[in-house]
Amino acid sequence: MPIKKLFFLSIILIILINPANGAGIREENIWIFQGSYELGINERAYLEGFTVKIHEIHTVSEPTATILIYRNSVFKEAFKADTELNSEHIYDNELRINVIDLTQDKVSLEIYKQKSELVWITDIPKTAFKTGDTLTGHNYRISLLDIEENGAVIKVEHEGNVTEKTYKSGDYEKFSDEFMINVIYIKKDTQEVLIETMKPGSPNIEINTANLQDNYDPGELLEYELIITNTGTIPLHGIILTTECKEGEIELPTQQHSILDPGKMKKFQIKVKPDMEPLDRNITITSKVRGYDYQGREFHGEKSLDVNVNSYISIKKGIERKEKISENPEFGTEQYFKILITLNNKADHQTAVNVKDDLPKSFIPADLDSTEWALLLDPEASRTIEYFASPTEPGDFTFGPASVIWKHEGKTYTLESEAITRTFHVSGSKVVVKKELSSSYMLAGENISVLIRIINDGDRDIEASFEDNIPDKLTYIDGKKEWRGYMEAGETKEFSYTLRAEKPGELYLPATELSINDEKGHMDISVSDEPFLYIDDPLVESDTYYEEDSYSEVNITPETGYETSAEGTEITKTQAAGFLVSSFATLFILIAIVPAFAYLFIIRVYK
Amino acid sequence: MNIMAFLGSAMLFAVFAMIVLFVLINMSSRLALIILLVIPILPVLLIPDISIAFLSYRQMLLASGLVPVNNFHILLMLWSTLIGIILYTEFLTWYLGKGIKMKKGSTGKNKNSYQFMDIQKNTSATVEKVKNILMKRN
Repeated sequence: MPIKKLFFLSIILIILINPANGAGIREENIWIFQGSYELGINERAYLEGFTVKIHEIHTVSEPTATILIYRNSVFKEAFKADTELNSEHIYDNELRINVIDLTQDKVSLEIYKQKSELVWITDIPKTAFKTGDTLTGHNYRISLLDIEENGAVIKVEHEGNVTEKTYKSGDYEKFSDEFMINVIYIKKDTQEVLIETMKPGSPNIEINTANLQDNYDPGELLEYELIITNTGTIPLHGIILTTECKEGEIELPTQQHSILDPGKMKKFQIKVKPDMEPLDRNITITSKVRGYDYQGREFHGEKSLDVNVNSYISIKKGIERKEKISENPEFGTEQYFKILITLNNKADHQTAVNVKDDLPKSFIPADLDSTEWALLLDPEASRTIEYFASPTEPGDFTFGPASVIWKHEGKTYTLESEAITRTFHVSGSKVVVKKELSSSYMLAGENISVLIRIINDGDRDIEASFEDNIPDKLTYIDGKKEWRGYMEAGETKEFSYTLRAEKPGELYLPATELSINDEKGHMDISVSDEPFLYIDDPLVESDTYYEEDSYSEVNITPETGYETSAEGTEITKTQAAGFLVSSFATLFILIAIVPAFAYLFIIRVYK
Repeated sequence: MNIMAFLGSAMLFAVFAMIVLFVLINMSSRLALIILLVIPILPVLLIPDISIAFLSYRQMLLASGLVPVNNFHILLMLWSTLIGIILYTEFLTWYLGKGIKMKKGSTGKNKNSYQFMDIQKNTSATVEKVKNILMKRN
């Protein structure tokens, strides 16, 4: 029994070990580039298990640097290095340090570590070959020539070289840094050979972010995680993350990480303190990632983030609708409003601001001359303005945003609170009375109609009544000049009556006064306008004749293309010529007065 | 204000003024004065409807409609300007030809000094003369 158990255990172990051998082919014990470092005195480069520190730099004659090596934080070795003969140092056949450059205060290093690392990945997966079969890859060609007793004869053509060799099961051969062949198994019974080819892998950088908000307040530390994932096929070394932001200060502009295996991720904490600015703006944070593969080839990744940073002044407006307690409320409206404007100064300095709030047209603020305030906001403090406003008429109202104006370094900035989309309803009775005349001009003896339109614009049913007074110059003929009745909310009623003008003259018709009594017992009076009326003298017969005649005169003018202002005036050619001659003579005499007197004067004086 | 009507009227008046000035310069001032009177009167007698309509056409209203300006007003202005030009031309012509000689005759002593005197000197001399006369009277 124990022998049987041992046998099965051996088989299980072999099965478990076999894949490890497979993976072993893919790995190589090579000097793996760990990264480039630029270190000052007492600065350190942290590697996996090792720390490299610059102890001192001498630049007197030949520049040299004393470099210390720690293993698991335990000092192991110190050595002097320069850029000439002693530029390379190998510690314990595990760590290789190459000094690239040496200045007065900086040493540029390239660090390699000897390690068995995954290098190869499958190019063409396991393929069954029969004698004469050929497989063509990127820059190679494999042909199975024969299967013999001691193995399979395989011909490999790679980069112009032809190799013919006998391989056994499990044999592999590296033809170059770019190509490797692995003979997995030779099935002699079926005369088949299973072959796979391999190529070197490469790392790939993918950058993601986490815990990043869309909006940040000024002064708030912008903190988020930058996740770097190696989505390639082999490890990435010497990872250096550089973060830049023009509009803020980064806590750690450069961060490092030694190695990132394929499929693994590394989280970096990024902290940015944005500059204090008066208005909302987007700031851009750019993160650049640099890493290397085992050969020292550089790989890059970059990610830019746009984050909104709010203004250091903020304004919020809130509206609360309240019911009026009084039974006979002011303006006939049953609600009033409490308006709250909250201002916040997140800057580290005091700020003088002007706040302005526009109310709807029919609103009157309580105990305030205007809705404008000048305030001084203390640093990192908030203030609230609270006031009340009452509507003078019922209806649906929306409130506009409140605005704050302040100066920063000589420039004026304005910020508005968020728009209030809610519509507020105000109950109450509102009755509009309109009085219109069919014409504002009439002749004595003519009739004119007066139209009275009553509109119940509120949301209360009303009882209303009116009685119009007729002025002396007019006589009432017929129609409805008085009324008493009931009107529902939103209803419109029209009444008209006819008047006759008795005497010429100008007058204003007296306004119609409508007495209102709403369903809540609230009494009010609504008054119309006073329409103007001009009563002219009736036309006499001769005038009519004259008018008609003047039309015939006017009719000529459009033909000649002139517009005459002498409508209704008839003049004969003799009269016209006479008028012209007399005008000429008058002008002549007037103008001739001065030279005539001068002439007479000269003649008399110098005779 | 109708721009086309205004331009048309302005052109007619300009032609009229130019004819009068041409006659005044090249022919005779008396003929120019006659033409100045006759040219507007003839159309009024020959084609009264059109002429009266033309003269009574209102070109513009000035001072917020308080002062209407008809073509007739423009004709009056043109007349006064041209009458002024003609009369003063006539007067100056007489004065420079005969008036100066008369003045020279009366002040024989200064015969030569007045020969090329300019308008300023002439005026001051006249003023001086008037003063003397008034002094003598008093």
